Amino acid sequence: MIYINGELSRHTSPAWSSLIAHFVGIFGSWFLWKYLSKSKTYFPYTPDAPKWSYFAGVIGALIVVIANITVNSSIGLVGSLSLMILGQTLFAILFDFGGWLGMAKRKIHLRDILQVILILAGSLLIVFY
Amino acid sequence: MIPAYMLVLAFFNGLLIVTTRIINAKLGLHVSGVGSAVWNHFIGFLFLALLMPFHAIGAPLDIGGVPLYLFLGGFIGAGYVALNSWVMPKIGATTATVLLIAGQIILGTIIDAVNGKISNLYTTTIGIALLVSGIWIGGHKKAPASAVQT
Repeated sequence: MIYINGELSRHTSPAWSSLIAHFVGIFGSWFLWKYLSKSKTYFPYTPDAPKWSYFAGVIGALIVVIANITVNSSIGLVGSLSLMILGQTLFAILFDFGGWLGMAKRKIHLRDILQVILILAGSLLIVFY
Repeated sequence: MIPAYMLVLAFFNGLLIVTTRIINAKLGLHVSGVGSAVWNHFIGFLFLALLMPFHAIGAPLDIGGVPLYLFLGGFIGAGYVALNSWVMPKIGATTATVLLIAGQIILGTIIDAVNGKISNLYTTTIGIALLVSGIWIGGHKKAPASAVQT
């Protein structure tokens, strides 16, 4: 996905590529949803879900804009990728640990820490060299 | 000289990535994982479309000569969000996040290898070995050693 969207943005621009990917994604996910859930309605809406949870896509769009800015700055693709990976991992641990945003509170096991370290080290090694 | 605020901005983007995934997963509990992917792409498209006028002046769209398959990334994106919303409540944000990163890096390395773009075979091999061992130890959650808590 990153590769295809990256190639597309090389041909157009990162913002256009994201806009196109989102547009195609609407149809892709809608067909999947309609087919998998065999729903009678035309949109996956239910009043029991918190209203704000429908708007994750706004942040998703902002992520593209910010990534666009940092990748084109002096820290480049490698710097951006490493910091984004680091940020994601650290904040995921915090969200799990604190049980924020309605996540189930989880105890952090030694094994989890070991897994995070191994995967983080492997990822950064490949990204950097 | 690397501007410090760029480093902070990229790091902060990591927070945004986790936040959207968790919110998507939360919605997914009500409307199914695939349902949350529909909303993610629909709202994301609308919001980006609102921002586009600021961008389009400097970079008008020219899709002549773009290979057709490059337009299909959105389908994979749909599957990606759906899958994430489905697994995240089951295994937690941390495990889901590191496994997603591992999968991306491994597939990225395979694509690079196919295109002959591996710059350092030595570090790439060690990196993959670390990733695979990281994924592997996660698959043994029921072992007694996992009772160690911190």
